[in-house]
Amino acid sequence: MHEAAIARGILDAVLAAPAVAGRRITRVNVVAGALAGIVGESLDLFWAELCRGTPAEGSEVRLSIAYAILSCRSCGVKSEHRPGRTVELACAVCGGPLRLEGGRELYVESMEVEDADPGQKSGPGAQ
Amino acid sequence: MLIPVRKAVLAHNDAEAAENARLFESRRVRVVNVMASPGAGKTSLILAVARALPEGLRPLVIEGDVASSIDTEKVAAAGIPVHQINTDGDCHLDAGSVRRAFEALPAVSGPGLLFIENIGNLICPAEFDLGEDLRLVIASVPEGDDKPRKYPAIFALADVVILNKTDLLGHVEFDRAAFEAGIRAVNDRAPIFDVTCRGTTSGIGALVSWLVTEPRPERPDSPAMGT
Repeated sequence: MHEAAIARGILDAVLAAPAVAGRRITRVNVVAGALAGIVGESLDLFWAELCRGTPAEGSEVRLSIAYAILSCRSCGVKSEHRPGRTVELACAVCGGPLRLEGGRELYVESMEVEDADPGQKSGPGAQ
Repeated sequence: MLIPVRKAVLAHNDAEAAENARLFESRRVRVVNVMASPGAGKTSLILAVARALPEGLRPLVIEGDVASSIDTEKVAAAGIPVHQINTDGDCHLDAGSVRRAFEALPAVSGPGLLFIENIGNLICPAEFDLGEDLRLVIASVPEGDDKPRKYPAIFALADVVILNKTDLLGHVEFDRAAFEAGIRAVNDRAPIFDVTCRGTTSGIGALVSWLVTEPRPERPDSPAMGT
């Protein structure tokens, strides 16, 4: 459910970027950590509704997942924790205790906008 | 054309949370964000802790619920200043709503301990900083010992974990060692307090001592930006 607030935050971030200046946004690239709990399909629904009437109308959000890292506190071996996977209780190599790090990323990395001249691309008003 | 943005999605909430933290400190109010699933015992724990606070430390409560003022009525009946937030569907509290609720509470003279009872949910509240000093996550015995492994994000950010309804240990299936192992897999620093807060209480005194003395932990500058 918190994807509604996440979609709002993404839209605020891209519309505040000075480079937008009325140009149509076609794609927004977002990095989400494995522990951020973002459901892509749910985000898409809120995104489509929220963007109506803005330069981001019709755009897509592309999520890149940043894995959390499980580090063994005994032998130092690291492994990736991906969304939806069961958290391991002990190191697969030595059985030592693990530490979970990272995975809380949630930021707009970049966006793709159409060219400033609508006559050269399929921007607003172009044929 | 690709344009770099590099901005936290919840930057607006994070800024409001930082303002909240400054406001709370200026009013000498220590703030605990209480998070748990529905029915884990958030309100009961708040009431049990409030009853056991040392002389001179005033309890305050902000209640967060999708609907109703049921919990607020319980807290008010105990003589504790309380303000209700109804989110009308939203699954979490945010820093702005907490700021407005705090301003609606009566000003207290002297130090206070404010409990923010978040929406009953083990997923969404984990993403929204409220400006709190301490993040308290409750699990209760009837929920089962696997909750830290099923909802790792919220247990990973906890400063303290409470195992509530421990009077039911032995009556329902619950492996205490497995529960602790699940927490340690995602969080190697939060202490775990076993409590019962209805009827004959247990474990509340030790929790109160920790809550009133534990310094606000150092937090990463911006976990949302990966730093």
